[in-house]
Amino acid sequence: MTAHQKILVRKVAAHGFVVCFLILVLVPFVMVISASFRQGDFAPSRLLPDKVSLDHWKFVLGIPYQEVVNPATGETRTIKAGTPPLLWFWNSIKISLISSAGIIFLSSTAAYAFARLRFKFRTSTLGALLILQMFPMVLSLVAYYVILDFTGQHLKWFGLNTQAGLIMVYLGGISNYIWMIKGYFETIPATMEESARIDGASQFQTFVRILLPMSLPIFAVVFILSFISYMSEYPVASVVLQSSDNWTLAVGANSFLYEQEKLWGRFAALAVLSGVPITVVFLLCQRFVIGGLTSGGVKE
Amino acid sequence: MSFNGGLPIRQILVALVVIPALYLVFNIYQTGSVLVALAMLVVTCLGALIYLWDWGYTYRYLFPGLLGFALFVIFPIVYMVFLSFTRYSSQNLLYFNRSLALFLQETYPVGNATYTYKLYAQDDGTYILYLQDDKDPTKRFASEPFELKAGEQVKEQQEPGKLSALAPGEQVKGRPMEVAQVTREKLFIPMRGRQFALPDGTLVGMEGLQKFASRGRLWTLNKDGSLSNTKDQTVIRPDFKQGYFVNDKGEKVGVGFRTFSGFDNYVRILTDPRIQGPFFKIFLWTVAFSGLSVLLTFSVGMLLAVILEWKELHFRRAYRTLLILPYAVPAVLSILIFKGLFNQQFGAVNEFLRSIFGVAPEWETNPWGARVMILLVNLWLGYPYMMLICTGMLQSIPSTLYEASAIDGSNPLVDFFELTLPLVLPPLVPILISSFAFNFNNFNLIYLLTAGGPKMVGGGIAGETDLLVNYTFNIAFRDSGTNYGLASAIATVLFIIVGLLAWINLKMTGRNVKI
Amino acid sequence: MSEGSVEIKDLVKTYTDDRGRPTFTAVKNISLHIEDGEFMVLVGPSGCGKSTTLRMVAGLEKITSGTISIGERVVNELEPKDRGIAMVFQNYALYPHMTIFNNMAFGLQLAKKKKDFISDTVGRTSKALGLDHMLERKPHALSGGQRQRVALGRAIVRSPKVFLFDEPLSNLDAKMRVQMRSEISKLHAQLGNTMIYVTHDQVEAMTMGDRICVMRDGLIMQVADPLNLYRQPDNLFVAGFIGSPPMNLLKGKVQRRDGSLFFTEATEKNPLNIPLKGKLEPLASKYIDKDIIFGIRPEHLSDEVKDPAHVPVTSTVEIAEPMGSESLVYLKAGTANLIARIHGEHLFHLGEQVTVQFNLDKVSLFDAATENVIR
Repeated sequence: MTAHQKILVRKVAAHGFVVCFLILVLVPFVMVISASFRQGDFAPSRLLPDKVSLDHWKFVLGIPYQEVVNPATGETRTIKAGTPPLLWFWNSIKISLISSAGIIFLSSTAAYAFARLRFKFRTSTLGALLILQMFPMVLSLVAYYVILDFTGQHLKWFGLNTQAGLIMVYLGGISNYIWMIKGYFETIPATMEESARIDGASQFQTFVRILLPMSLPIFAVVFILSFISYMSEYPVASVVLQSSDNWTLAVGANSFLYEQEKLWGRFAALAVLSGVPITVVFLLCQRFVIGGLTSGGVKE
Repeated sequence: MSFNGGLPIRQILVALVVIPALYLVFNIYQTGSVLVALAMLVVTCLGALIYLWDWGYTYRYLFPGLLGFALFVIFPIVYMVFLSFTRYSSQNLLYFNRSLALFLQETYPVGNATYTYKLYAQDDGTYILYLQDDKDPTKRFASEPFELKAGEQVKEQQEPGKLSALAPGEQVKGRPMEVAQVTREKLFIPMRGRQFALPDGTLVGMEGLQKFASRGRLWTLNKDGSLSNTKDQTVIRPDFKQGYFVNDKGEKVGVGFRTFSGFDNYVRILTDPRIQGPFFKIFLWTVAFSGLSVLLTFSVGMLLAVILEWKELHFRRAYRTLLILPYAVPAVLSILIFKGLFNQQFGAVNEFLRSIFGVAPEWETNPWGARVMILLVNLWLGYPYMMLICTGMLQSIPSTLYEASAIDGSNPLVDFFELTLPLVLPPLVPILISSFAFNFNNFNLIYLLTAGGPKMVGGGIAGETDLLVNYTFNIAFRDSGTNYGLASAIATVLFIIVGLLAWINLKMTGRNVKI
Repeated sequence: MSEGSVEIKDLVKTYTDDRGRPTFTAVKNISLHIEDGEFMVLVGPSGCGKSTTLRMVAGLEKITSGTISIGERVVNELEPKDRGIAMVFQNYALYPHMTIFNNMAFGLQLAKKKKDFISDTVGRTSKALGLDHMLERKPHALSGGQRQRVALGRAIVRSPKVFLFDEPLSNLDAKMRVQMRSEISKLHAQLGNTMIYVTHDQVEAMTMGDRICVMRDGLIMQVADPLNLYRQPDNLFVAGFIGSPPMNLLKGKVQRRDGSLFFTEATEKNPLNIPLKGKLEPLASKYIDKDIIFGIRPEHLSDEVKDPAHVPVTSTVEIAEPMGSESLVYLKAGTANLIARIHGEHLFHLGEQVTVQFNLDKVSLFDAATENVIR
């Protein structure tokens, strides 16, 4: 075999492998789309729906539709979602956006102190942040319940079953982001800020007018990563949010899949409707995220 | 934040936060939570000091973030460690004082006077109770209006409602309700929890559905803290070790209360066969799951990264974008989608396998099937991250190394094992460790995919695929006999394991990265 | 009159860790007076404390002890912006998210100057520096030299009393460096401000400074104008640091033979002997049988007798680097290695025997124990 043929064989093998792998990866997506258009509630199992129906989509969008109750007589009834599932998507977006913005605010200021200021126990605090954050949120639920129950008695917007309460809980998880942003701040030469000080900027002005604008790339990364993780957060949201009009996407989507009655069609429609925009946004910001992941995880 | 001259913006902002906070502190203090109010007062004053005085400058940047962290990360950990040393479960749910109060409110019928009753519904939604003595129909009484919530049990014992005697011929206002109607509208449920006092002080309460009868307190509190039964003269005393009141024979009476239990919960993890058996089995599975997940995602991620780094391969960008997709979709949705695909009867996976190979693995009922499914799904979810990280690492290796090895007559396999892997692995170790720690606590995956199922034979609430974190969660929340104390003890052990991993990771990274 | 003078007195800088424990002392008690309008260069190897000193003058580092005065005012506790200084950094420290105009105007904007005044000042300065056509660009679109000019311009618009430069040319390529060197010198001539310039490059120091302050290990080794520094180094360190190629330094003893003094090289075999005549004789007489170091610059070794102070030494050529109008010749005399800078277009050959003439008038003798020059 010549060298040329050898490379050709390798190329074919590589393409073959990647394409097969891609099919395995992508088939679930296709099946979900098909399940959302398929009449009746079946677990995703076909590439194309046998009987096309828009009922699930109507339900998810909160549009009333007719369902045949008795096939023999053709009797129908009107079905409309009590809480339009799209509301859950909107709740999730709202909660994730506000939480992510709050995370950026809290972690960038803290990261500034850790990166640029000197104070007692700086290194030990940094280490403690990382280690304590390893405690799984799920197991803090009892404590969250106690806290929110208490705050709810005094400030009713921050109690149990409020989105503000959930956001407040989410804002505690900042330590990973502090580390990421601190790492980025440290790559910015200190002379930038020194120069600004000579130009007459106060420390706060230096932070706001020099360091923050220069750090926009890492803020984009932190924002996207925290946004995605809050969109997916299930256990805390499911405990804190009790009434269905407060639910997030994760809680709502899971509510379609009771042990007794699994409403796959509605779930699929909701999954497509809410999954697609998030995926598209992620792919648009891909370059940022990848850069952030590699620089955050791999220190040069 | 203040600029030279102009308004003292910083001072105004501090005042805008501090004044409402102080008001809140005052409110909380008034409701009796003195300790919480004190803690809040300290935090508020500390915050005000930091933002007003110059020495606190550094801490101005740290204060909000660290406060949130303290409240929602550190407090839960401290609280949990505290709970792990207590007996606190569905059997020992109430504080001692509440439990004692329940005993003291218990009543029993005394005497033989019975009363027929009627409820009079008022226009404003309240009710008035009307009683008529069965033996002497001239003795009639009416209560003041009170609220009743249909169908809701009264948990807190209230002051007995006052009954006043009615003059002959006097009528009660409102719409009368007969017993049948009271029953139908489920008003009897809250009624049963209420007591009323006749003008002479005798307590009356509902006896069955039809009648009211006079009742007396069942327990009286003695000086030494024990309770005497007024009916049969038995004495019970609190046993703070068990968290129960016990009688002379040592039998538990009534509902339990929360109490300190020392290391009992930890000892139970190690010795109680009902906990210990599942605990160690679950621990092994948790370690195996985390290890295998890291290994699988890393291998596949690395393989794909290496292939996509091959400069002569066409469509590399398109491939990469498509391969990242699983990372972009919110994991909750993907996990639930896979729950459908792996559905044992109707799922796509089994339909496919049945039609091609004629087999249908039991993903849901066979423990090994479920475990394989979990690993496969986690591979799907996790490889893109590893691929991205590996791509970054590969791109940092200078290409001249491969050119040199090509001149030495190397081939791709040798290149990979002799050059790439040794170069890439050391800096990846911290990432692999943190990935291990992440999977160690991968609650969502198990909870949403299998909910721990199938059930472990003889394992109580333990499932074959439960991770430690799920098992703990179930003990705390899902079991009919929720046991917060035990769950907290397991959680503490879990935290020590994962915290140790994080600490090792920190030390390892610390060697090449200065903090 | 002296509003641009800088007075440094007993300055000490000790760094501490997070908990306030001292870690190391970068500047150990230095005192230095810089005249109004003077171009002072601080030079020394890395870690000598020159940058730390400059940063303390700028107000970027806290002073551990001692005082710094600018004009007649002690500035220890003043904010950088209130000290009447401007600084140019090694990496220029241009704000990447701002246009060139905003980079230059930032300080004026913070000082709440009027818009007209700002655009006027920035416009004039940028024109003078040839930057006026790129005011709307961002720093990443500029070449290294242009960025350097923006950094200069940003310093100029502050109209400071004292300019501070922290190795401003070390990020430029060799050709650009030479050009910017003369531009900064020209700027100094035009503005007449005090300038303090930190560099590790002794050529930069020699070509630019009115006076040069040589530092090592947090101490000042010598302060002098370039020529005196070159001709009369106070100590071994300055002698070795200033000048390229460096001064020839030979270890040995003073010995008296037949009534005259000789420098005898410190080796067993075949030591080099140089008579110490003329002005050297009284200096050396105090060091008979003591260790000294004999220093002579390469250009004071020649291949012909021009001067009565010359003494001949026989040596062998080891390497010759002809550079056109002159040659650098690496010689072996006895066991000593010597470098000679010899004028003329003579070609030297490997192994050739050459008699070099030492110009004793230009020799410096150092006490081997204290490393100080013998005067």
